[in-house]
Amino acid sequence: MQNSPMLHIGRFAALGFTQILVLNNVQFGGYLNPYIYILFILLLPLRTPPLVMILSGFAMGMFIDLFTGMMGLHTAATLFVAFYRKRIMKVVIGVREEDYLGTPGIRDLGPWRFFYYAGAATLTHHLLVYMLEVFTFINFWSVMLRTLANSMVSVVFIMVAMVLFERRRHG
Amino acid sequence: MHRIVAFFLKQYPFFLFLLLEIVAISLVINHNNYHKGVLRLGVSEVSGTTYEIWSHITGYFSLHQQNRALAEENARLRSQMPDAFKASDRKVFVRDDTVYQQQFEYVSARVVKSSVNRQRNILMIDKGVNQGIAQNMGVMGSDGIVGVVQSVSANYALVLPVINVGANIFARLKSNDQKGIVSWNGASYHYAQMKGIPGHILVEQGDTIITSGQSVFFPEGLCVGFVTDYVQSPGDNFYTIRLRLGVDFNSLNHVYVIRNLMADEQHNLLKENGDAE
Repeated sequence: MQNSPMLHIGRFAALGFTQILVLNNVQFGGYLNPYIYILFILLLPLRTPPLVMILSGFAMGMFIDLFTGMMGLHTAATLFVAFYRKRIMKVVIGVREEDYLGTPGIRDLGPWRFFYYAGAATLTHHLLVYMLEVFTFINFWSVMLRTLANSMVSVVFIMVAMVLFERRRHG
Repeated sequence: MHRIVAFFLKQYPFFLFLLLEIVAISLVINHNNYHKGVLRLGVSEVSGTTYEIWSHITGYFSLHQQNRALAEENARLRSQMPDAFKASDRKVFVRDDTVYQQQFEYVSARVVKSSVNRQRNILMIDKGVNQGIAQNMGVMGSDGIVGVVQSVSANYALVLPVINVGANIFARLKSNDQKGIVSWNGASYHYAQMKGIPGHILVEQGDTIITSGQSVFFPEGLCVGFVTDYVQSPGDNFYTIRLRLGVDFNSLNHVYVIRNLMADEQHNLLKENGDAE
């Protein structure tokens, strides 16, 4: 049950619609926009075949792009994170044998390891989104600042979502 | 040969990733060139409907403010109606339709989707080709100009607002007619920048900046914003003026699309003389 495709499809829809209908309307001073939908990618089991990872990343990003009218922007960033997720994870926290058994959430990784993993992935994703959005290097520092600030907000939202919705291990 | 095929088969996820990434990035590049809104046209029908349903729901939360804004505007418009004026002297009060030919028509529309926190913000309104909206029509709110229609589908249109780093609006200072160009630097959605005002001109805080009437999109005299401060960099002959935009893009709901009945004529005249924008 824990890794059934239906669970992931449900998560795709729930996070996707939360993102476009609720979080995209959340404006902190007109600068920040929390992105929570990449949680869908982060929580796919580590054993997911690469092909499925790539298609999931593409589909998730495309879904957000279609609804925000920013063609390609989220797709490029989400696809990148989906493909290099394991590598990011390896660099930041290292992957252990037992990590391959379940979903890389707080329950299996522990709060800190998940926090570092989610933080690094979010930072990568945001950097790509903001760099591609302006598509120049002239506002480099403003892009960096945006990336950092927005990543912090997004990670807070991701952690809160995990604490609220991740099912506890029984027994 | 066999080895090459085997290599590609083994590494296929990477090549698939690369291919899709190139597709995505080329979409971004195409999108940046904002006259190529074509790709998004089919899409905007679907997403437009979704957002419209959602904005019907969330619209109830701001009904109070919306009503007040509309009532205020009604009052202002009423005060401009003929009934509100008393004819001072019949003998000199001339009104002749052959003298005043209507140039601009206004179509009201609702914003169904907007953003203020991107570099390239975009608005979606609930009127499209079926309602007579076309590309390159100006859009204004009750507090000033909003932007220009960028692409249209059957029942929706995308508007490139002032708060998009790709937007340039011809404007002038109301007090002394000096013309310049208003653009946005991607920071706060309350403020825009105006360039092109020569340094010897006297600019004052609070001066109103209005549309210059030089573009085909907008009639002359629509509010753009108000001067908050201005600087002149050393070695630069022109001011950089920071202005507070008249429109609050975060609470924008009702807008008017401006149809210039003489746009074609103006375009053709320019084109004939080889000066097509």
